[in-house]
Formats: sequence, C-alpha cells, structure tokens
Amino acid sequence: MSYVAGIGETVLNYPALWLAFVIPLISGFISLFAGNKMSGKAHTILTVSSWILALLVALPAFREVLSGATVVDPVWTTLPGIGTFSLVLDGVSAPVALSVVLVSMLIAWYSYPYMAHRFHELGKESWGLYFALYQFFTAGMLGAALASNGVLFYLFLELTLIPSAVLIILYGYGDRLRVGLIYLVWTHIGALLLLLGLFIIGAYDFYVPGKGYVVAVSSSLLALALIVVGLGVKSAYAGLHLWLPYAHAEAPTPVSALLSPLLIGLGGYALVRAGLGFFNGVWSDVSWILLLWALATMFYGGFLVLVQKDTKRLFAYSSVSQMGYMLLGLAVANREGVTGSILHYAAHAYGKAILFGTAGVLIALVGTRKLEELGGLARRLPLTASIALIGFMLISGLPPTLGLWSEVYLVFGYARWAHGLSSTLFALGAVAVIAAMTLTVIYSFQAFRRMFLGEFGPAAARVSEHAEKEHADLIAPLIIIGFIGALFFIAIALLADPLAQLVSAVYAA
Amino acid sequence: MDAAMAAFVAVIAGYTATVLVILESLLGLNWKYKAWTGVAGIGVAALASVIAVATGVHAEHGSVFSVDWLPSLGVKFALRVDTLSAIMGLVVAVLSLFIALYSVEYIGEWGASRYWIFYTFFVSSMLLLVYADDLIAMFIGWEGTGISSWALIGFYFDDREEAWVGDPGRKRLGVPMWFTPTHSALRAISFTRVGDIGMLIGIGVVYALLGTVSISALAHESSALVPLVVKGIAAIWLILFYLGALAKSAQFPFHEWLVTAMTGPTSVSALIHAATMVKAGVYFALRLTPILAPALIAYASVKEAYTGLAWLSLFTAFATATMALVARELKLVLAYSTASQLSYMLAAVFAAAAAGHAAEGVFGGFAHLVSHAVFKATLFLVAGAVIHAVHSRYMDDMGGLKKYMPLSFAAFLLAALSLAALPPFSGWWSKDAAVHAISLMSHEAAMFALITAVLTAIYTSRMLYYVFLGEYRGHGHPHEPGKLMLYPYFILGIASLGLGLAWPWIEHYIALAAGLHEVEAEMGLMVMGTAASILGLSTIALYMRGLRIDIESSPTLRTIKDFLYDRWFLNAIIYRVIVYPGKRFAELLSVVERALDRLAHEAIPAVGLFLIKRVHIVENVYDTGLQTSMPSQVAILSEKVRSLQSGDMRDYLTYFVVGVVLAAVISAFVIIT
Repeated sequence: MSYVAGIGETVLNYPALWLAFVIPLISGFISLFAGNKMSGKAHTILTVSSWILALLVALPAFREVLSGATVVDPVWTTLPGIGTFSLVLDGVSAPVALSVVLVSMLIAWYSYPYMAHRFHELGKESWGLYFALYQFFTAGMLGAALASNGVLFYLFLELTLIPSAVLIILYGYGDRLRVGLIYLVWTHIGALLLLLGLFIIGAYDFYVPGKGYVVAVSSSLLALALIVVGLGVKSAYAGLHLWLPYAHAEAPTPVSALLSPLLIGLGGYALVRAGLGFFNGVWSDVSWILLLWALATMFYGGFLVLVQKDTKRLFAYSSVSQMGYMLLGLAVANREGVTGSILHYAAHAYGKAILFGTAGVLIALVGTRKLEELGGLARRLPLTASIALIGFMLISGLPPTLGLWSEVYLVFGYARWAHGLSSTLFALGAVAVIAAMTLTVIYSFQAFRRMFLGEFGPAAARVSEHAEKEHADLIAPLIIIGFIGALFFIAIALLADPLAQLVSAVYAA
Repeated sequence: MDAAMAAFVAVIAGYTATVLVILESLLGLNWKYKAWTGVAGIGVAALASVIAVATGVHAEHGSVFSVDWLPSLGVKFALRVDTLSAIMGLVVAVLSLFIALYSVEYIGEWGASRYWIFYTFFVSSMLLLVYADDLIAMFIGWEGTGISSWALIGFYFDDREEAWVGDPGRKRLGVPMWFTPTHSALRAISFTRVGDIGMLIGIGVVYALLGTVSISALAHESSALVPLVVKGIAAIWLILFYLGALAKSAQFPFHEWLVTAMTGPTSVSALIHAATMVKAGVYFALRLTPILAPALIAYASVKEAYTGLAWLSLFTAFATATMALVARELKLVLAYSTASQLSYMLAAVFAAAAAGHAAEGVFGGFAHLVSHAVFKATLFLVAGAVIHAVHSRYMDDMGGLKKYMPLSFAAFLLAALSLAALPPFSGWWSKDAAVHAISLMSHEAAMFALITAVLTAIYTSRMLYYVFLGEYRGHGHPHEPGKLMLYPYFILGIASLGLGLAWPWIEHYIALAAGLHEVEAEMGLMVMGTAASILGLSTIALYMRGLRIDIESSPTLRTIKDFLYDRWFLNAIIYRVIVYPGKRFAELLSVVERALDRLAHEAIPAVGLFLIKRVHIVENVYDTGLQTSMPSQVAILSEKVRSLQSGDMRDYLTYFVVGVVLAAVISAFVIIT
C-alpha cells in the first residue's frame, strides 16, 4: 500500500461538506414529521431550498477544487481497523457531487407537478413521506460521492438503497412491489460484493487526510473481481443489468430521473477509487477484459434500445449502454480515459435526467409511455421536443453540450491505449468503438423520431395546443438542466482541468 | 481589425443570431423577425469574412486568434486566417448569405424558428471548422454542421409526401427505395457519425503522439507521426483520420446519405451542397494533407493508402455520375453530381499526395471547390424555384421552362455549362486543375477522370433539355419567383461565368493558398478535357432532334438503367447487410434478455421457494429436538458469541453483511414468488 499526495490538501475551516450532506437530510426529516401539515408546494420549496443551501455552503469547497486541491472536511473520525471516515471533495468527486446536487435540486422542483399528477392517479397524497424518502435517497448519493472511505461509501450507498426502493414500491408503476424488491436485492448484493472485496484486501481508505490517496493496495484478482462485479451490478454492466430496466422504468418518473443518471454512475465513480486506485499494479492486466465488457455493454444496451416499445424502458436500456462508455474510459485507465469517464457521468446525468423528465412530461400530458402511440408530437409539444433533443445530444456527444467533451476524452483515452496494438487489433478495435458510438446516435435519433417526428400517432389527438403552457412548471426545470449541460460545454475547463490533473497525479500516473 | 479578429467575428455572428432567434421564438415574435435576424447574422459574418480576406489573404504565417478553452487537453479556441482559410471562409459566408436571402421568401412562416436557428448554427459551425487552428475546435464545428444538417434535412418533419425522395412504392431487393425527410435525416447523421468517430480516434492518436491538437503545431512536428509507420498502423490510422472527411464528403459508400438528403428544403440542399457540410470533408483534406503527406509519403504503406483513397474517390466520381444519367428527380441529378464533383476534389488531393506533390493536389482540389460552390449553389437555387413553379420534383413534369422562366434559365445555363466544364467557365479551369493533379499519380487515373467528365457533360445536357427545353409537360402555370429568390441565383449564375473570365487572377490566390509558386498547365490534358466536355454536351443535339433510344423496349438496357436508377443496388445492400440484420440482432438480443430475465427473476426464486419448502419439512423433524436441546445449547452459544465480540469493527461488519445477505435473499424469494 502506498500514499500519493495528490496536488495539495486544503482542510476547510468549517464542515461545509458535512453540512451539504446534512442540510438535505434535515429537510427530509422535517418533511417526514410535518407530513400533511405542510402543503405539497411547501414541501417542494423546502426540498429545493435545502439543495440550494447545500450548494451555497459547499461552494467555497468547489472553488478550492478548481485550483486542484483535495478539499477535506474538518470533521472526521478514525475507526480502528476501518480507517478514516471523512468527506472529501476533489477533482474526481467534484463533477459527480455537483451533478448530484444540481439534478437533485431541479428534479425536486419537477417532482411537484409530476407527483401531483401521480398522487391524483393513486388517489392519495403523501408529500411528506415522498420528499423525506427523496431527501434520504439524494443526500445518500451526495455522501457516497464525497466519502473518503470504502466502508463509508458502502454505508451511504445503503442509505440510498432503502428509500429509493420504498419510493418505487409506494409510488411506482406496474408490479411495483416486485420491482422494488428486485431492485433492492440486486443492488444490495452488488454493494455487499464490493464490501467483501474490500474485506479481502483489508484496505478501506480512499484518501487519508494528511497522508494522501491510497493506491496499489493489493494484487488479489479475487478481490478485484468482487469489487468490479459488485460495482458492476450497481452500474448495470452487461449481464449484471437485469434489474435496471425494471427499476428505472417502473419507478415514479422523478425517481427514474435520479436513479438512472445519478445512482448507477456512482458504481463507475467508485471503480476509480476502489478499483483503479487500489489495484494500480494489476489493473492493466485486466484492461482487455474490462474493455471488451465495456463494448459488450455499449452494444447490448444500445441494441436493446432499438426494440423497446416503452419510452422509460428505452431510456433505461440507454443507461446501460451509457455505463458502457464510463467503463470504456476506466478500462483504458489513462488520464484521458478516466477523465472522460467522470465527465461522462456528468453528461449522462444531465442528459438522462432530461430524458426521463421528458418521458414524464409525456406521461402527464399525453398519458402514455407506449412508443407506438407517440409520433409527430413536436408539432404539439415543441418545447418538450426541443428539450428532449438537448437530452439526446448530451448522451450522443454533440455540441453545444457537455457530452461532446466526455466523448472526446473517452475516444482520446481509447486512442492512446490502442495505438500500441498490432495493426489488426488496432483496426478491429477502431471498428468496434466506431460501431458502438454510432449506435448511440442511431438509437437516440431513432427514438426522437418515433416520439416527436413523422406523422401523428394516436396519442397526439389527446394533446391540446396549450398543454405546454399549462404544464410549464414540468418543463422549466428540464430546460434549466439543459442549460447547465450547454453551459459546461463552454466552461468545460472548470470540470475537466482539476479532474484531469488529479487523475494524472494519482490514478493514471 | 486584424484578420483573425475578423474571423472571430464571422464565427460568433451566426451563433449570436442563433441565440437571438431562440429568444425571439420564446417571445413568440413574427417569423419575419427571425428570418431577418438570421440574415443579419450571416450578413455580419459575410462582411467579416471579406475583412478577413482583405487583411489576411497575403499574411505570410497567417493571423491567429487564440483563447485557452480546455488547458488539460491543450484545446484552444484558436482561429487562423491564412490564404486557404481566408478564401474558404469568404466562399462559405458569402454563399450562405445569398442562400439566406433566398430562404426568407422560400421558407416563409412554417418552421421559421427551427429553420433560422439551425441555419445560423450551421453556417457558424462551418466557419468555425474553416478558420479553426485546433483539431478539436475544428471537430466541434464539424459536429455542429452534423446536428444542424440533421435538423434541416428533416425540416419537413411531418413527412409530407412532396418532400420525399425516390419513387414511392419502388423496392429493390425488397428494400424500399423512397425516403421520408425524417428517415433521410437519420441516415445523414448516422452515416456521417461513423466517419466522425473514426476521425476522432485518428485525432486521438495524433494527441497521444504529439501531446497537442493544434494544427499549427502539427504542421511543425508532423514527423512525430513516423512511429506509426514503425508500428505498422500508419495506413489504418490515415484512413481513420480521413474517415470523417470521406463520410461528410459523400465518398463511396457514404454517398448514400447525401443523395437522400434532398428531402430538405431546396435552400438547405444548396447550403449543404455548395458551401457547407459536404465541403467540410474536402476542406479537411486540403488543410491537413499538405501537413501529413510530405512527412509520411516516403513510406510505402502511406503511399499505398493515399493511392487507395484516390482510386476510391475516382470510383465515387464515376459511379455517382452514372446514377445521375438516369435520375428522374431534378434535385437528385444535382445531388449525384455533387457527390461526383466532390470526388474530383478529393481525388485531386489524394492522388497528388500519393505522387508526392501535395501542393498541386490542394491547388486542383481547392480550385474545383471554389468554382463548384458557386455553380452548384446556382443550380440548386434555380431548381428550388422550378420545383416550386411546376409543383413537382420530377423532370417528367417540366420541360420548355425557358419560355416561362427566362431569367432562371439564363442563370441555370451559365452554371450548367460551368458544371459541364466548357471553356471559359470557371468549371473548365478548375476541373482541368483537378485532372492535372490526378494525372500526377497515373495516366490511367487521369483518363478515368476524363471519362467521368464526359458523363458529367451528358447528364448536364439531359437535365438542361428536360427542364428548360422542348415542350412543357407539366400542369401548373410556371412563372419566375419573387425578386428575393431570383436575384441571389441570378447574381450567382453570372458569377460562375465571371469567375471563369477572371480566373487567371483568381488562380493566383488559389495557388497561394496551396503554397504553389507557379501553376503548371498541361496542354494535352486541357485539350482532352475540353473535348470531353464538348463531346458530352453535344448529346443535347440528340435530344433536340428527338433521337432517343427506347430503353424500355430492350431488356439489357432496361436492366442497366434499373441498376443505375437503384444506385448500383448499394442502398439495398446496405439495408440487407447492415440495417436489417442489425434489427434482427436486436430482436434476438431481446429474446436472450427475456430468457435471462426469466432465469434470474422467476426460475431461481422458484427453486429457492422449492428448497425452502423442503427445509420446512426437514425442520418439522428436527423441531422437537431443537425445542428441547436448544436451551442447553444457549449457554454454549453465548460463550461463543462473547468470543466473537473481539472489538474489531471489521468482524461486526462481516456478520452484519452475511446476515443482511441472507435476510435479503430469503425475503426476496418469499415475496417475489
């Protein structure tokens, strides 16, 4: 085991990171106890404000990260045998944490009009419980992104698991109890495999304040396999993805818009810390396997998108394919690839939040998830179509969206890895990457076409001319997310520079 | 204002207009505001491009505007005005302005927001890729043209029938041969995407070796790419690097996207074919070939790669020209012609590079790019007016329009003669320069190019005859369009002649752009080129005299005609070999997926439930025993438990984990089933 110093450490003089985690949690408890004493709107305002406050509190920490520093929260504790429980924000976790904060904030706003619609369908309002679970879930994700320790990461992951499963069971669609349990069992087993892997190597700290990043801990392939498979379940890599289409399709749509973009990507994120970092020495030996797995995931998810008949299942399979992108960057494990992976977390977060949001708009305005009933809707819902296009552009890597940069980094990472291959392998690999990435564009624009273009589907008759105006509050948060996705296209250096610096200093030296 | 600053203004002007049109749409303003905002944005860009030429065309090392964009990847928002980019920027911006003016009337109110948002984004993206001195900045412009072309090709997204391409109901090998706008748009973005990712891998390799994506830096350090030769991947890398250009510039088999892209409004076709998008690939080759080829051409694999690319382009030129011979739709003839002419440009660049004379290739390719831009814009804009006037896209419904639309005929004729490469039109000069560059590689190649030139002149006469000469066969009452449509193409038509007359002066600048000090002309080739043009054009006399072969009555001719008409069956083959099997593969995967799903979520839990029941029976047997023996065991157990409380957090967590796993698995089995 060795420590790598990173670029510099800043210990905050107040616990900004813990506060950013605790504030939404408190808001969740308030919602829980207030229950029906507060109106849905009040719960929404509380939740959104808690995230704005969390962002403001954490802003100085984000500013410090821009200079490349690893920002440590002053409140930490050391447990014998486990290591240090602290919260850390650095170039790698900042894009992840920022995505969690921003998407949680905006999807909370989106939740209000959407859940009003859903509660109406279910015949019972329970705003307090909804937002309480929402906050435990989202705060847990923020905690996981900031955790400096594998066990702490695991605990935060557990914190996300129960509330999100309950959200599915209470407010989801279809056979939601069954779906909730499928989700619970699979991802729980995934998290446990991760933990078992960590137990085998006996190292838990990702980062130790004062010492640095923990790398090259072990060369045990068994432990590595457990960790990769464990996190692979979370990230739904091909073969381990069976739970995902259920959970993401049947969850209440705002929860889908959190699960798909934010939660599953955390698997890829943790793979940087507990995979690439801990197994520095042997990672390159398994690069091949991971690369093939990444391509398989991109193809498997991508091809299945093409045959989906349900908008939310379609987006769910697209998430599988997008996790393949993240794994591709991790597989090649160089500076560009890993940077691309984390950037793709963010690009996919904004893109998929928008897309699930759009599916929700269609559910609320058109009353269907069936693709065969859609078609031609851009004429009735031009704003929804425009924002959905931005979502598709984000995942397809088209300008002016952040997705372009993650794609550039990922392809560059692949190119750096591949240009040392023999000519046959170089050619085959290039063909595979080209095909896999083209598939994303094909399924995205094919889906867009089936939903919004061409002749009117049967559902179009149900949409009034003024539907968008009446449901502006459902679309507005999505527009803001799209705007963020475009803003980071221009201001990419804010995300990518500290990230790439840290990756090259620690994880891909 | 220095040249690079002017280039910056040119790029930003259109993007600013994009934002303004979006705001105007949100505010619900009248369509005319959006249209004129778009025109104004492009107007500013055109003005700036003129300034860039005026101040930058002679600059020795170019004028550079550079802002850091992404330092960790060395990406800069870097623009560079040298002779090549200055002239190219001028061509792009000015033609786009003409087409924008035409569009105001042509597009009108329906879809105005969309049209002007993507039009301005398109033009700005094209200007970005032209002026870019950074491969990634160039790539961003490149992808920008991709997304906007998708939107504009599918502009009539309600898939109205008059916007279709191909004959509804016609199938070849069971594959439909007609295309709706949204289908064509999807084809365009998918086909070009293949090339784009290839190109990005190619750029990524450059970055891995040089640590930079700056084009200027690459120019100085291109020898750093030699290790690729040593590794044996140079040829593959080269093809990947050019793959984006091949796809965008419609080289076989990518030309398929271009010919169906006719579903867009005609103004969009003019924009895509004349000034932007398809020219991007050629421009990429013009910009980068003189940097790469000299450093690498000494190596056999690279030379072979360039030779292969040159023959691919020559083949594309020929193949698409034969398709143009039999097409019935006016825009389709023009589309085939574009693919064919683009291939001349690329063939010139690649062939001359293979011969070790990259500069001559740039000269030939660029000369033809400039002249083609002007005459093809004219042809498309007139075609738009004609189709509008006769309410049909088929040439069968045209004819004799000379009488009804004399000014349009004049503009079309001037441009068509340029396409047919008749002296002294600009097309004659430029095609000669291209053929000269091709001849540097081999005489066979030059001959092949000349045969294609004959075909070009033949389909040009056919088109001229069917549209403007003979008797009117349509039903409507054709008439000249409004001034805002007529003037732009009339001026451009005159310009294709004017360019030809002023060519010796223009040639000087094109040579400067190519880095050539003197332009060689080969008398023999010039004579043959002129002869090819006259030979092909003379076929119009056959039409005029009514001497036409009855193709339908001869089975052989009919088969050949169908083969050409159905684009050498290539579209059908692509669908049969890639698209349909892809779809079937997806369906097969969904069966696999269902099976896995059943296994994981039904079979395994069922087995579990079965086992649990068995355990239950076993449990009954032991029940009594346990009831009695349990108490006595408790004492021992508590002993053990105490020893487990070692104080090590890790052990607790392990127990917790094991317990939770068991609990979760068991509860799942019970509840799911």
